[in-house]
Amino acid sequence: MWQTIRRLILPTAILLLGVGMWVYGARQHTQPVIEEQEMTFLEPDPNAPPFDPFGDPFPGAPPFDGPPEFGPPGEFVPPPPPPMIPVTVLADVVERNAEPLLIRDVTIGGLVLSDSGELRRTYTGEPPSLCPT
Amino acid sequence: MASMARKSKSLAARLSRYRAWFQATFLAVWLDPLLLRLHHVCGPVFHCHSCPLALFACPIGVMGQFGALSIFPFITFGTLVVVGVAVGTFICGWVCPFGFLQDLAARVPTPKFELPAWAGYTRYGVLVGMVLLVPFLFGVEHPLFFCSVCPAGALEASVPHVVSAGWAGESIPWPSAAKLVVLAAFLGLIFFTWRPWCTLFCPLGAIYALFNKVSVFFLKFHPDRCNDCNLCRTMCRYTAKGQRRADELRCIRCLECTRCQALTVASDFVPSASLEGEAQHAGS
Repeated sequence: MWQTIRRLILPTAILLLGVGMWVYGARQHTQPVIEEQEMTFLEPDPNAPPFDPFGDPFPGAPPFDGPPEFGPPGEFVPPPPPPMIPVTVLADVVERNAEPLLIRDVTIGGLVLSDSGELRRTYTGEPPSLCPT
Repeated sequence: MASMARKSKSLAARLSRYRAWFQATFLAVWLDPLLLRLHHVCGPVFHCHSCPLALFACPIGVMGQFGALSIFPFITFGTLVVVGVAVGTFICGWVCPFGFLQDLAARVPTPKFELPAWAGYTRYGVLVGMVLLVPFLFGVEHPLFFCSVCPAGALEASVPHVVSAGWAGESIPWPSAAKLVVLAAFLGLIFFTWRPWCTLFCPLGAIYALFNKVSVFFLKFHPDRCNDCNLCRTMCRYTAKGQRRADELRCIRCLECTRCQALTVASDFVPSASLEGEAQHAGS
């Protein structure tokens, strides 16, 4: 009886356990990984001249030649937005990576555990080709 | 009577004569002939993933690296459990490329010495200490981390990369001195004993050996067919001494012993007739 159990039920149960672990690892198991990524965003151009509310509102127009005639009050016109330029910086981005991707990364030494206990990718862009060990 | 050996013509006994061909065929698979580089999953054998021709990730390397990252490797354990419970150490004897290398070296006619009977247990020290504990406690930079001294990594990865870098005139990525010493010792030993790496150090074989007790396919000893001819013990070269127990830890299931009719490959999931085949009682 014990032999039958050992030879039929136990292998089946362990086999199912292994398949379950494999499927869970491949489809469900993820880990947060910090990765430096290049991020591009727009910010005001620091070299642009500051907005002058009393400046020439119509560059190129004929010069001022007298006070304007009184008329109905005009609507408030907001100042024009400052000129923006694209800026690219390296920023830490946290992504949840599936286990197959983690396996691929450890084969090339692409993951380290930081002092704070977080996973950090060691490269940006093209992965290294060699395991450091 | 020792001279009345019961020779078997079972399927296993017939297959065992072609074991080297099976190993060579699997080697061709592990060397990634289609350049698939499936490094997102682990293979079932001991083959360094840094090898330029590695199809899968090495399960032992991934296990150690994941330990250093404090992650449980579900895919790796799943692979080892499924393969282990299906066939146990058949993987070592028939599929593993590193075992094949040692089998080829053992064919060189040099004097061979036998390793002591307790030798098979040192693998568990390697598994627990160098694969699991050292990377988990000290990280992968520790000199005792398994991959830092692994001769498979040295032979399959470091040597090709050193040669290719030297050939291309680039800076040479020298492996550590410890790795080179272990590689040199390994290359020396394989000519003077049978499968020294598998017997003494292989952590993957240690894991598979644990499944020999419960694997779907196993070696079965038939006491009623045994006449103590000792053929099985004579045929066994791997310190397992006849595999008269199905759960023998040091057995690599090369099936040499199944040439005696008293030992067969068995499974409770497969009809025994299909595995045992025709057997005959032959005097020799």
